[in-house]
Amino acid sequence: MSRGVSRRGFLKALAAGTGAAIGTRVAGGAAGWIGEARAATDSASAVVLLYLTGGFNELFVSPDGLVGKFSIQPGGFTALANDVFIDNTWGNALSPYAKQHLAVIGCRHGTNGHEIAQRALWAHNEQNAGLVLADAIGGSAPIKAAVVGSGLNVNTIMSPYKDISFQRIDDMQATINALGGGRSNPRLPDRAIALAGIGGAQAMSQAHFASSPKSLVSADQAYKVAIETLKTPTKPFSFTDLAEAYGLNATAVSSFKAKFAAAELMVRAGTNVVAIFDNDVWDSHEDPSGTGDRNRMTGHVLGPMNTFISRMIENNPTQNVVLCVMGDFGRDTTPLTGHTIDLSAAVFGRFVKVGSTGRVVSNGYQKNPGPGVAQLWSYLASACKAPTNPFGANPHPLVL
Amino acid sequence: MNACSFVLLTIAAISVSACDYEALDVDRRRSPRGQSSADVENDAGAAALDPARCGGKVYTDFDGKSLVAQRIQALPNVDRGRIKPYGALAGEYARVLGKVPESLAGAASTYGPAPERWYEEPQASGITVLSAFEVAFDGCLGHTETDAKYAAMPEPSTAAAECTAMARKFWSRMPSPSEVDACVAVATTGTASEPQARRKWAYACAATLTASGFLTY
Repeated sequence: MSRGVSRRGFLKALAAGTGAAIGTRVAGGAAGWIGEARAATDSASAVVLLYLTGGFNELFVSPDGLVGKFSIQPGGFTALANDVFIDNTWGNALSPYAKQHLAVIGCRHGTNGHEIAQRALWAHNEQNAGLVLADAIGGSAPIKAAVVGSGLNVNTIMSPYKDISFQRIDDMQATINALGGGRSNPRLPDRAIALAGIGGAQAMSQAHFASSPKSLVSADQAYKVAIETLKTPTKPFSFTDLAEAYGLNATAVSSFKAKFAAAELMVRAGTNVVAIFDNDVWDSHEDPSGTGDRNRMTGHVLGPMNTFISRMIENNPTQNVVLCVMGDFGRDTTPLTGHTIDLSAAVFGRFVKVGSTGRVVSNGYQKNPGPGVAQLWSYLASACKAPTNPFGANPHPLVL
Repeated sequence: MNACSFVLLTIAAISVSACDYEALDVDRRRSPRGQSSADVENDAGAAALDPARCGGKVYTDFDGKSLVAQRIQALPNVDRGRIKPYGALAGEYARVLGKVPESLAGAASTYGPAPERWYEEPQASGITVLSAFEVAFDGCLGHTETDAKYAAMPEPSTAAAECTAMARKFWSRMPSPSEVDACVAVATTGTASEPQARRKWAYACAATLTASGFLTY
């Protein structure tokens, strides 16, 4: 049994009848039992956003409306429950669990411009919607929002929200070190003294931040996060487990699969919202066969995505993790495969009910346009069971 | 249009404008480092240039909106700070410490190198600040390992003098009294659990090297 948890305490907790009452949690295959210190920073909910910059072709999640387009033959797609259909690339790759926990969420933002769509999809009342969601989920983790690797979309609102900002994670080992400490090396600072040292550095930087409140906003936020991280009880993590699961041989978040591994790390560390930006050629013009999008999806996305769904949604009973796949907009079905003005997002989660509010018609546009950006984020807040939902009512009846 | 008419029209265009460019030129000659927004506001001649006061023709976009409608009123010399990119840090540490900390090379991926043939404005994160402190401490251990002045435990008076000297060297400017006080606090009370004098000084050195005075420009 883990340290600090007696047999009597364990049996009492079981008798309480709720898994959350155990107080510790199994971190999948990463670290086994973790002591009580972890409970102080647990976040039960987390949302991971896989943002395909440029567009997310609706052929993957509404092929039934696109017969004759994008190389889709009658019946040439995979049927799920509740009249939901997915492209065979997804049908052949997704696990049975993923197919039983997928919803397609329609969102009409009304614009076919990349920068405007990117800003619109990430905005809520002039704030970054991801940060608003991170705040709503709550918890006491020092890093409540993170972006893994490069590609942070600068068209999104970059300002912090209630001192929450997207912390960029570029190296998993450095992050593990920061979260877990415990390295024995006389040339490393003592963690408690480092807290005082960085606190002093922060104090020595205040005048500079005051004179550059915008250009140095990330630095201002960074000191706060560093201090909070050092104040938080340490959590041991193992890169070895992540490396094996995602097929990595380096700790740098420099590949797509490394981004998903880093997302898993951050969710386990208690981060509420993790953003993964993929800047491949998802703005797939002149691809009427859909070949390019399918190749990109099968080439580097589906593998790590499946691993993440298996480890973090299917086999992670003490966290409610939601994965949302989205992009600027869908593609129209003209020979130039231009931009639509709406989006069919794919959402996976333990409490996601199979269904679709994002069906499209033959031109690639939403069949029943209506709900907008706020409603998409409202759905995500509902699906992850956030304590509060700042985005208004959720019109998508696809939450268990 | 002949040359004479062009000159007359140019003079007329300049005359019509109500913008105070002379005041702006004065502000551009000022050094931005270390100035707070309050300092800038109090500077004589640092007149805020309100775009709404600029006269002349209004140019509109295709949708009929003024091209300058989104222009914000910003104080001169504000928001000039930028984070030093990772690629500059080796030279910077060598400049102030005499050698590059060995741990800097291993921290490269922490700072998120830009994709090939691309440039991204560096952004800080909690992890980069933590890594920066570790690298600084590593370098400062070497900086404080031989000089006799670091053999004695830091006291408020000695720490104030040394913090001032370190800040002057690391930041290329004199520290303010509050900045010195923050460094002294690290050297004395912040390192209370550290028994070795040289390591205490190394922590103070690392804190000064992790401040924005060194990590930004």
